[in-house]
Amino acid sequence: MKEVKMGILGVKIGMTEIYQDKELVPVTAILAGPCKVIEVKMNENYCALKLGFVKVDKLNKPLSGVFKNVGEKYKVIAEVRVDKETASKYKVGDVIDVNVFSKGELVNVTGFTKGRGFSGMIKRWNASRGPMSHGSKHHRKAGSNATSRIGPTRPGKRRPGRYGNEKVTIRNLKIIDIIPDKNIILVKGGIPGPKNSVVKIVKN
Amino acid sequence: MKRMRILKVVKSPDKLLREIHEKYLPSKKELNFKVGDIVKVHQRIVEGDKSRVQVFEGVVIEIHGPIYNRFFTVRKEVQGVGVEKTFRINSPNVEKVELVRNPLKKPRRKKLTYLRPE
Repeated sequence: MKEVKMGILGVKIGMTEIYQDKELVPVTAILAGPCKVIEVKMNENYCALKLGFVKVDKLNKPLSGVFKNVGEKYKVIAEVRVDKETASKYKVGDVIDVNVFSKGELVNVTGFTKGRGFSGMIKRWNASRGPMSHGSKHHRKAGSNATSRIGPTRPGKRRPGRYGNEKVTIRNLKIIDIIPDKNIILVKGGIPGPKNSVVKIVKN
Repeated sequence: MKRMRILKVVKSPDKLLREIHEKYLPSKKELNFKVGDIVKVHQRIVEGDKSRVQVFEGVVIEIHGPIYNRFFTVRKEVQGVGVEKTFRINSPNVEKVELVRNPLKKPRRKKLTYLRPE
């Protein structure tokens, strides 16, 4: 079985460039944690930590029931899979912060891409454009759906439609640096989503 | 995490980003030249395991970018061909910028793009 390790929740701050060993490195800054452990799941086949991120004062009644054992209420709840050994180390109410990661480690970052609305073939599927002049009338249109020989349009045929706002994981991002007093992680390269969007960082 | 959530945990992420950026600058270099000056830029060039310093002398035609990430463009003419190079002030490879002389007449523009031929 693939080893599953620790993770944390965070918010994307934005991108910048820093110098490392006389080289310019593009980095994304993520404000990560501190997260509180709400629940520890220790089943036969599934071990996980349920984490809460961003403290709030008020929540509706059904949601606040989740935080009965913790005492504090949180806006974002997400689970991070861990192995049985790690899960047994934590208990409800523990705090997880950026120190679970170390410099140079590889992580996977999960987030939601920017929503692009209803978009055409060129933006959504990288289709090429038809001629704009000489009476072509086929500027940015989609091509043919099917032929009489193939039969009706097959399911999964690429067409215009809603694009973006989907869950995407970027794998093997290197941690360039950690600033513990500001709860910030700098990873090399870009991550999905706009600024201020919630992301999950998991050890690779 | 079932859908996209935008949380304003930080009031202004850009301000925080600038603080982070400033932390990693090698050393804050002061600008000792202006647009229109003639400067000598000493740039370290690494080729394999050897490194040398190359000097580029010309007119500063442009300075742009925020304080923590500033660029400047130097232009000179070599055998009738215009050559322009853009440097980062904070780059560790730009060892020093030497001021050769000020312009005879102070330029009235921010960018001296008129020095470029047609």
